[in-house]
Amino acid sequence: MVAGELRIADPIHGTVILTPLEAQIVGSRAFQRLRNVKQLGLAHLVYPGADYSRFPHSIGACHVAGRVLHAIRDSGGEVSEGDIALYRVAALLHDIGHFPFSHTTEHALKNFYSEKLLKKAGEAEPAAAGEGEYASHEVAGKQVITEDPELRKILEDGGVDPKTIARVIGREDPESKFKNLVSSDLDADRLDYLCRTAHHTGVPYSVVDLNYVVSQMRLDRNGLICLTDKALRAADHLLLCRYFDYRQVSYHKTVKAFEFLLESLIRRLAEVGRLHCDAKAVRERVASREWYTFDDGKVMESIRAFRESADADDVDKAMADALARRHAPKLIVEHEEFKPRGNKELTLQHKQVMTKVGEWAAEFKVDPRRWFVWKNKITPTKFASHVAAADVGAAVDADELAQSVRVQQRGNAIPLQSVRYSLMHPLADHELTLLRVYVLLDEAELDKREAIAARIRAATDVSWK
Amino acid sequence: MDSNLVAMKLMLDVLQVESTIDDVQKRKLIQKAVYLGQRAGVDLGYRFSWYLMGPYSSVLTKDYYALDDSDREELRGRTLVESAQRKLQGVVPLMQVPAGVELSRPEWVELVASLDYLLTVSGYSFEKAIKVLREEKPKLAPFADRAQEALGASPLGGVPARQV
Repeated sequence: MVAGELRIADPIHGTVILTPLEAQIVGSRAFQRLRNVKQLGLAHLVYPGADYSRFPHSIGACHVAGRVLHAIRDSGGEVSEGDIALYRVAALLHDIGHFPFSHTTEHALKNFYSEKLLKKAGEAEPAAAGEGEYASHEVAGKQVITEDPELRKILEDGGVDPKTIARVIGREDPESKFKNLVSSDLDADRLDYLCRTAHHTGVPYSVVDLNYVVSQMRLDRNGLICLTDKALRAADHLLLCRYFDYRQVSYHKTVKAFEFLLESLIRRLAEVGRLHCDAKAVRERVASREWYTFDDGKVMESIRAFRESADADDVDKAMADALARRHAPKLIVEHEEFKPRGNKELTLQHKQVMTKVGEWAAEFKVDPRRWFVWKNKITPTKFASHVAAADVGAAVDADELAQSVRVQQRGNAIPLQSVRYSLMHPLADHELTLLRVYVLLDEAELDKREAIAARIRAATDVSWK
Repeated sequence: MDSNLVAMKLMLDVLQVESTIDDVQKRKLIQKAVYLGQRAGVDLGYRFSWYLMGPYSSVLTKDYYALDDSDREELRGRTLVESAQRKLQGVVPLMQVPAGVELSRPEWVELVASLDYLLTVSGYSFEKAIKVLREEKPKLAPFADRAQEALGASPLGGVPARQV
């Protein structure tokens, strides 16, 4: 064992060995904060074991990044020890800027700050026009890596330029060797995430054959990571894993219901000035080291304080109470169907529902803010590529293709969905469409549920389940 | 429709860029236009990385597909605040191909956005940026000086041709 090395027992990867520099990074306060930022947001309210944090996931991503580069080197690719060290650190720090409750918070804030850029035509310029610039977790991460005094010193003392790490994570440098190792459909982040989520949720459909997939990673002519043609079935399976992860976990009906509550409350916190999260606020938090305690607990504490304050109205209080007591908004009706890609029916169905929500809210005397209409699509081959099998040809967006899982075929790396005998080939031309209506009903109103469902079914042309 | 989709669509309107996505060139133009719009100071929160065709945001891709799937009537009657419009007007000239530049509009805007990205985000010198453009975009590279000129004349400022 090398002095300063750290051995960690990990439920997914077994023994993970961190270098002395990586061990110091993990010991920093900015990294320790990740223990208190859950990877899966509120999924633990449905899958009790799913409360793992970004802390072990980040360590796992570091480990997978190292394994991928070793596999590429072992198969003849040009990979130096310096490359491995650099990309492991980048993978270790790739989530350092995640906000509490991650994507739910970002969605709420993105919309909140975008609205400051908008007004009704003909209206006077609002007083707060354009105030507050939204900062994504990637921007926050860059700030933390380059400006947090403790982390910056650890990196610099370890011979690593923080700006270089930020550039690798952000894929900002054209000369980076392994551009899609940290950011693509086939990256270290996703590989660890899928295995870890399957383990902790108990939902086995997204268990990736990690050892085999990693062993079959290669570099294409552009230095982008791809899979050998031998791994085609494993690649199909990987994308199916992602599909089931989305369908069973991220888009689980009750997980989404709780996220609606949380997003609404975070938005209200921003509106009443109890949560400042624009770019300036993020910079100030990092500089003052307040960032270290900006975690899930902080947001929940803010929600509790808001609930008890004069800023909260009755709907806010009902939402805060529902979240605290695990009383999810009720799923009233749901539509789910595989349709050909590009089909616009979901948009029309959603519009039909949205135009009537106000009317139903009045009829059933349930505040419109308690209604949540959610639509989404899942394409098995997606999640960065929107390219259908039929579109893989001359007029394809090279950058969209570069995001997709690609396999080597006769010396070229091509998107999996363009291989006629891959399972993704027919599936790429279809998407699962989902449309749901939820209502947050108080206990005394639960008997309205069936009547609301009957009204929605009668008033819409949607084939509800 | 999410507010950020509305803001994105309205930004494209001010920049005189179509928001239809049925063609790869149109999608490329959207990517580069939003990049330049953000650089002008109207930040929609998209983070751009360096890809084969220059600055690219996978989240923006997701969003313009989501916009395409949305009910456009929700946009009716909405506009960007004037301060945002003023900032964007400053980069509208960058969306037009100058006389004597034999590139299509998407190619020209790709060149301008790519050069700006290499200089400001990647932190390259002008010489290094040109080297990358020659290697990765040989068709566009001959017009890099014109792109530099256009950036210099815009609020984005550009950098001197010879940067240490």
